[in-house]
Amino acid sequence: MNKASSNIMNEMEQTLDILNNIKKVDASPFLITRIQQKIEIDKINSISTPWVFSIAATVFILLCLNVFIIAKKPQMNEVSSLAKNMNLLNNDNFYNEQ
Amino acid sequence: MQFDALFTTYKNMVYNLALQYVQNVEDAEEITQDVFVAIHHSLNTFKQHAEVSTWIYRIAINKSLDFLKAKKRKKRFGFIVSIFENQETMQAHSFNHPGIELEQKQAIQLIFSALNKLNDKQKTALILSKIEQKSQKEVAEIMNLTPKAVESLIGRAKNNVFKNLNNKEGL
Repeated sequence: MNKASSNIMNEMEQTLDILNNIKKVDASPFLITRIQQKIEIDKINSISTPWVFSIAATVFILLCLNVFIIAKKPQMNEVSSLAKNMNLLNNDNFYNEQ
Repeated sequence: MQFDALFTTYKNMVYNLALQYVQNVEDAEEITQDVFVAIHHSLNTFKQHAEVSTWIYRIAINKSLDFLKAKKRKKRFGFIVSIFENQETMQAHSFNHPGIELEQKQAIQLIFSALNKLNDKQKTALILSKIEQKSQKEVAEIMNLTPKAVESLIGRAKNNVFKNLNNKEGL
């Protein structure tokens, strides 16, 4: 290392050495109260993971049930053919009114 | 591990480290609160084989850097935000470091303005080694780097601070 760069390094170190004079300070005594408040708020706002899973599972089961019921609902032509087979009226014209 | 005991032991360490990043009492207190809320949340998942102080240092560093990024973002979109938010939240916090004596305030403020321009890694390495007086080995452990990498990081950080200072003086 030549003299010039060594001088620059020294100058740099001296400049930064002023940072050693920064004193440690104490945190506010009220910090713990504010932290406890934040933790409580977080507890209220957060929903636990098992709850999230059980709600999601319930919604999924309800959806599946809906799809199943809709798929199994007898179609109109099925009702008509059933009525025909059993000699039932498939309209509300009971008295042969014209 | 008791939260109260951790708070009592490390509150000043976290607060002082946050102060070196933001150089402002209100912001440092906010970061300290966030750090201890995060500690409370992850107390059960903390792996005992890691040093507690290293773990807390890492949380404090990440929270401080996140805070600075959020502040920068807020400043960038300050105009839009100021339409919706009140003016108080948009006021930029001034340099307010209680650990600095009045006669040195100007000189240290100048160095901090140069230090604030460094990238996250260089800034962290310089704060830990120069202000927090940590050894290269400790800095390496906290930053999850090799001591050799920390050495070159500190060297580059010092060079850049010096360059920034010279640029400022040249103006």
